[in-house]
Amino acid sequence: MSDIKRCTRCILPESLSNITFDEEGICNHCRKYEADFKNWDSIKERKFKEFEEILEKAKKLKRPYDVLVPLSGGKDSTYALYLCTKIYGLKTLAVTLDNGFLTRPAKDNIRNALASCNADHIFYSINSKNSSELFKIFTEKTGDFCNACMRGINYSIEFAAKSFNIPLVIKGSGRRVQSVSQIKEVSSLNTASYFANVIRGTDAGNKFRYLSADKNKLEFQKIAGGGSVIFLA
Amino acid sequence: MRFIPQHIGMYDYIYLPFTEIIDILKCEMNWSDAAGSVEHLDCHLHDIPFYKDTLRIPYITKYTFHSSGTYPAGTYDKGTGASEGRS
Ligand SMILES: [Zn+2]
Repeated sequence: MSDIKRCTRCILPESLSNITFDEEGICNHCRKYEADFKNWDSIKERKFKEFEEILEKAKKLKRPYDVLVPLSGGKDSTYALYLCTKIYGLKTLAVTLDNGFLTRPAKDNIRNALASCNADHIFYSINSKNSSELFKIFTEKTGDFCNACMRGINYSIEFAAKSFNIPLVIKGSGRRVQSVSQIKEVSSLNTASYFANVIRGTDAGNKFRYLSADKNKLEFQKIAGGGSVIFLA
Repeated sequence: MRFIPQHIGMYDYIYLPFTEIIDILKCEMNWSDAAGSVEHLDCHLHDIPFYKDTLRIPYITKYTFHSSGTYPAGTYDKGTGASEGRS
């Protein structure tokens, strides 16, 4: 076991750039988390009420679908689908992006989940030969390929939400439980403009330029905690 | 007027311990953790970015950021983490 200093709360090590520790040994990321999210127990009832109000608003609009759920087959997105369909009875469109590397267990879970509820589903599958080409370019130019995939996911959400005029997107995520993945050292750039800049002048430029279209600009909205511009249509 | 759907993260409004979520999903959605892992079972390439972090930052394992994100939210505890060799 190394004797490197770690945050006494979250165990992040001092080797992470920009980490600092206070006199209690708690890191700046944990302190920021406290400031941003406070005590969940003290706010959870209010947040739950807000959640139900948002769903009610979406329902009242009487669109073809009340809600869009991005579905990967993992536990979190499947739970979002369960809540929307089986607990709240929302007209739900699930959307899956297969980046060419979606696993067999995930595909099985998607099929089983859809058979267990009444959601409709769009499956957008990028051929693995094409996505491999894209990921290679991203890795060579940026050292990372997840941003390419995230752009594909956001694009498929934007495309489906726009096509069916869906007022609400519920993702199986949340800033409260993913605060560490949003710190600068590990966070992803998945904006359309970043995507466009990376593929410009490469072989993937023509093939994937459509993913740079950001007419709906989901990424500019606050992802959690409400506060985003809603129901403008 | 321009159309903008509201875009929210479920766990910022509603939260259950993940063990309870797994039980519900197995029962209600015929969900399976397949290879025995409930985290990120959806992508064959999932381990690569975590491996890259271990190369990039000293004293980081492939579990560090996941674990560190769950401790402050109270969705995991250090005892469990240590017993699973996660740090
Ligand atoms: Zn910390």
